[in-house]
Amino acid sequence: MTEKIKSLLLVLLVASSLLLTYQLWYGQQPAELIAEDIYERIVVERPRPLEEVVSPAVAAVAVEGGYYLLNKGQTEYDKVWSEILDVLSDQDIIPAPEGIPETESATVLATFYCSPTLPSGQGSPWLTAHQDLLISAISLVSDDNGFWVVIQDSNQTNSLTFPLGSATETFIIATLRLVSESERTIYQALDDEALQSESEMTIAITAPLFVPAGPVNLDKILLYPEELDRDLLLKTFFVDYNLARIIEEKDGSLIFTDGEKGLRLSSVSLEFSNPRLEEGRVSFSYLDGLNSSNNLFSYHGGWPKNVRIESLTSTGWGDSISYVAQWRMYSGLYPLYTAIPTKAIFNDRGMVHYSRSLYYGDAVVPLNGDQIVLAEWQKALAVALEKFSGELPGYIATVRLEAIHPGFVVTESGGDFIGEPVWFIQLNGRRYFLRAESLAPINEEDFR
Amino acid sequence: MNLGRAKLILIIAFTGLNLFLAYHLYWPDFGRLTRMAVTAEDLRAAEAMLNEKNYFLELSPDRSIRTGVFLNVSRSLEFQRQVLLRMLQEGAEFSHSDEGTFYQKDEKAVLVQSNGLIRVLYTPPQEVADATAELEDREVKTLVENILLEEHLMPAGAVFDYVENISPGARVLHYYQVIDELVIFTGQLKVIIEDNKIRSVEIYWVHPAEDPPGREMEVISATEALSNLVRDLGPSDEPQVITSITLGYFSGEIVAEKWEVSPVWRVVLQNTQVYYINAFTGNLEQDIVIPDQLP
Repeated sequence: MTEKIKSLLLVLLVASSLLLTYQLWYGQQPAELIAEDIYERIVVERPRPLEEVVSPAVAAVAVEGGYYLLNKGQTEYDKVWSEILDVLSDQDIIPAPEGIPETESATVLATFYCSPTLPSGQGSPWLTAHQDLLISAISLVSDDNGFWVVIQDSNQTNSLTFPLGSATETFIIATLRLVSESERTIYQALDDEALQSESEMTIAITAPLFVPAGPVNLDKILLYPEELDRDLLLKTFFVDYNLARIIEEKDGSLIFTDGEKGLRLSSVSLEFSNPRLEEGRVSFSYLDGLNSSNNLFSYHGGWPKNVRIESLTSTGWGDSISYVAQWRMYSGLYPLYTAIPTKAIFNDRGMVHYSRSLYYGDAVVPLNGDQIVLAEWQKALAVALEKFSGELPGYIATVRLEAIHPGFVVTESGGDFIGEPVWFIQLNGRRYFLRAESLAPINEEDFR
Repeated sequence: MNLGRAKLILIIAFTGLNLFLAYHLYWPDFGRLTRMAVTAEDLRAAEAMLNEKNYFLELSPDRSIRTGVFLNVSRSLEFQRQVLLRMLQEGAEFSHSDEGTFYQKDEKAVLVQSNGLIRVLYTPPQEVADATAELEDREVKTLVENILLEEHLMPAGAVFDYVENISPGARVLHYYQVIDELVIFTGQLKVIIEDNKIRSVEIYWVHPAEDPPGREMEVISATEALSNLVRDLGPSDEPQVITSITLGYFSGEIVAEKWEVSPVWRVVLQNTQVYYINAFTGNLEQDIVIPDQLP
């Protein structure tokens, strides 16, 4: 009996030693099973319909002595634009083949200026049945024969004219009358002739420009930087942000990098770079570019109020081409300029660069103190031209006036973020920020 | 010997063997030595792939499952302070320039750069041995270390790494940093020698931050790191011998208050070419991607 037990025990020991040796040699379980599941579902803001996030930058309503300017968010703009959108989205609408009949009574009541331009055609929410248009302006015209919507293409040669129904006509005219009867700042449209009297230099306008025709008072405004969910942001940029190392900079900013991508988060901005994607190209259309920019902006932070996409252009390095989308926050009619632009660079391979620095529009409140009287546009332009000449002595060619309007630059004072009223002027791509009243220049290095 | 006694001896022997095997398999401290990240089959496949691309393993890579954390470090201000205090005590004068702060005393100058790099420059170069003497690397190493110790330029935790012969008569001695048994390749000490004279010493030393350690995570296997490296480098025209693959921590020199250093597999080819593979992501470590404005 004892021998049998010994034999059985020996067999068990030999068997278990073989099993243990096998485990020791080949491993207990494959390493893949040990690794944690790194993928995580995240919930981000859904991209908004394109027609909701891309709309004309400004509407100029003709009034006695000039124009009233309206932009998105103002009730009258929203009402009229909604009516125009109905026309643009009507697939059965047929343009008048001859355009507006030539009569002396034709009057442009209002014009909506589009930046970025609105693409028409298949897949677009605007004029789906009409291909290859890049809508740069939409005018509402009235004459003895009725009421018309005139669509202007960006190349200034093509235009489409649609007659409006009487109900729409009545509604729009009533809304525009309300606008013209309200008290607002009157703006004048600049033209080459008006500019020639202001300077010895030859100045050309490259886009419709409007400046206040009379005195304008502006307040400094108190701003609050956008607060984003840091954990959610990390998850939108990194598949597994646990694999991103953290670098803490002297100013308290944090950089997250996994060796391929880098994300810097400061108290007022974020910047993301993925240099390996720089070599990509663009094979998708301008319309798809607008859709992509909408998706990217929704995914990486979402759409706060008073932000609009300002431009979508293409840029290239060597053989590579990418789209550049730029957004800007507005306080009423006026844009806010920050140290870091809010923009995305993307191509077929993905997003190369993204930066975002926004200040809440909801929190815009005037600071106590005397109001600032905006200097006249002629004086502001003269200062900018003087600086331009100083930077480019001997420049004799035509100067392109690309932008001139009041705005705010974000500065910091005593821990508060202040929107400082300025004149913004752009000449041949050179940007000038002049204090609204004194016209003293502000360096972009001082922006926050 | 009867059968019963033979069985008893075998039972005792196999019981011992079983205990030994179970100890290595299941004892917590040894578990990591035995849970294999790389099976014998994986290793053979990796070697075949390497050989096909003209890379040859001179060593047996670590096959166990290893883990790591992000190590939080900052510049070692303490060592920098010691070096500068000594210079000032010796009567050095200092001046500021775009490069950094410059401390000068006779033929020795110390430049402290904004990223924390300390450069000790000798003009004329500090003699280690007669210029005509033909010294072995280990002899130079011994003589240089004596000088560094004498001049208090050998920080605590410096471990000799390798000698890089850059041209006839010119060589660089490389040291790395070890903190609490962790190999930190970010911490580097280089001694540049020409004709048996020290021209300069470069020291970049880090200090562990006091933050709690991050989450411990499993790192990729040594063979996966090798595969990734060869994928990035591509096939080699000349046979390349992999002389070392070591798990440690590495980041480039960073201008920051503090930063996390990632675990890396350091691969050395031909005893001189050093590559770092991020042991979490498997990517070849290059310049840190710092977001900045693009044109």
